[in-house]
Amino acid sequence: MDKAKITSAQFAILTYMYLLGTAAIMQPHTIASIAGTDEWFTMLLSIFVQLGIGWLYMTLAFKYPNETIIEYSRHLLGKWAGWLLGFSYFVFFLVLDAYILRVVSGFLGASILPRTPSDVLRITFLIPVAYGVFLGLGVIGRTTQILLPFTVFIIILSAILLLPQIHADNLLPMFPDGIMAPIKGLYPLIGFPIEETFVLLMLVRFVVDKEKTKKYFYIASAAGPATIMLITLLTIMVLGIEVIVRAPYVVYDLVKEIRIERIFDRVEAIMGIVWMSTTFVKVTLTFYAATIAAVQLFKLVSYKHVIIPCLFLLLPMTHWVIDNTVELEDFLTDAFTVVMFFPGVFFPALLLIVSRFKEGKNRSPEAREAKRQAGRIREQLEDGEPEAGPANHGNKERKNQAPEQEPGDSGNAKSPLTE
Amino acid sequence: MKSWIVVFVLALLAGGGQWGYLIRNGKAADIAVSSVFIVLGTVLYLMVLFNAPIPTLTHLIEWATGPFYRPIARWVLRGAPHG
Repeated sequence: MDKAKITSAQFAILTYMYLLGTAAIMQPHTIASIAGTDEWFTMLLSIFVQLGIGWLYMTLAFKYPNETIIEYSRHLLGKWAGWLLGFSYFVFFLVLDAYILRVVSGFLGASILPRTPSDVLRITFLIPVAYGVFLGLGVIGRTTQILLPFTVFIIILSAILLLPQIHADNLLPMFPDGIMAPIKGLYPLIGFPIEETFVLLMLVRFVVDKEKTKKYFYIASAAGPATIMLITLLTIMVLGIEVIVRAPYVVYDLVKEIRIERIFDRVEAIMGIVWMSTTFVKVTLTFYAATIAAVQLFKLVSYKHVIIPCLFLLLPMTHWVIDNTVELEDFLTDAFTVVMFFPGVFFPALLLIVSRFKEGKNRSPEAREAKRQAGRIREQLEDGEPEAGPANHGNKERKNQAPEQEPGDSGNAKSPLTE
Repeated sequence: MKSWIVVFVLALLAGGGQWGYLIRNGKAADIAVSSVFIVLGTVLYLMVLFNAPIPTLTHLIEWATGPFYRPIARWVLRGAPHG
């Protein structure tokens, strides 16, 4: 029985891979149309935005470290409003997963397997995703730990092999339209991938060594956009901005430039595998979040019971979300950031404000007096009955053990999330 | 190619298998939620397959969020070198 636990390091690796996901291959092209040669500066700025949103998520998640956003939204907003918010998150998870899957199958269909039907690509991609989700978050975390060194190694190796083809003058002129162009370039980047990280609000509950989580998470949050910035810099210096604007999967085209005669050729397929692995993590986490949300919303016995049904819902959604790649590109540039603003910033900020408000209410003179009285009674009990001590510490212990407990449980010994 | 028959048969098989499994291991809520998801997915798939005149999700989202995103997108793309 999987206990559905991950370490802070695994959580950080998941965050890093999630951030790289499809963004590293798509975003240099999307941002180029707005920021031009200064898109590397946009990526640099995005590190700070990512850290800001990361702070929001960590502050909120650590107010309720043993619950997911589905659970504490019910505590904070009340039964019905909280359920509705949770349901909207469930829908957002499914929609986001459908978009990611569409991007992946579009990339595979356009670049690597042009004659393969899109459904075959999607089903082939979804089978390991469903199996990963079936095995649980612990397995997903360990798989990502294995995939990370491979991914980083390939990125570094590609960068080294591309060094001879670098033309630093491709970066010039710097800021020809002033500083506003790269700042405007942040707009699509905030939606994809920064705001998409709201999926992580479902995972903090499963982290065991929570004292390290924040530190590792911030490191990963900075490392993700920093890696995209380095990839973008390399892309501009090797290919130039004109090529970037024309090619939708420009990073893949970049790796095609690696050619050591008769020794090292067609390296782009290896790069394709790297992007498959980062995207696999992204799709799996989002799908996992959707199944967990379904369990908590509908009070199901196990999240494994909805894996196949969610697949049946997800597969047609990938057809339905978008007609063609051009529509997708326009959507990513225009509307996606605003759509993702709601689950990514607005709802978490609203929950944080409500929790602060409720805390403030508890700090009223009456509440303080009640707390003081409770403390006095506890002290009296401890003085009078020394054997009652451990029982009084029970709450603390229970708090620490809570990840093993059932979220939204009704006292069942068997956990739908940890089965 | 009558691919919708394949989709329908697959949905029936998956639904049947899932139903059998959930009757043994799940409770009523599991069966209800799973059935709703499978039925919704199958209906959506058939609609997409038969090119039913439904707008894409992106169109729906753009229509719903248009008043919010259009002014921002217009400002962002104004004067963009390659926009």
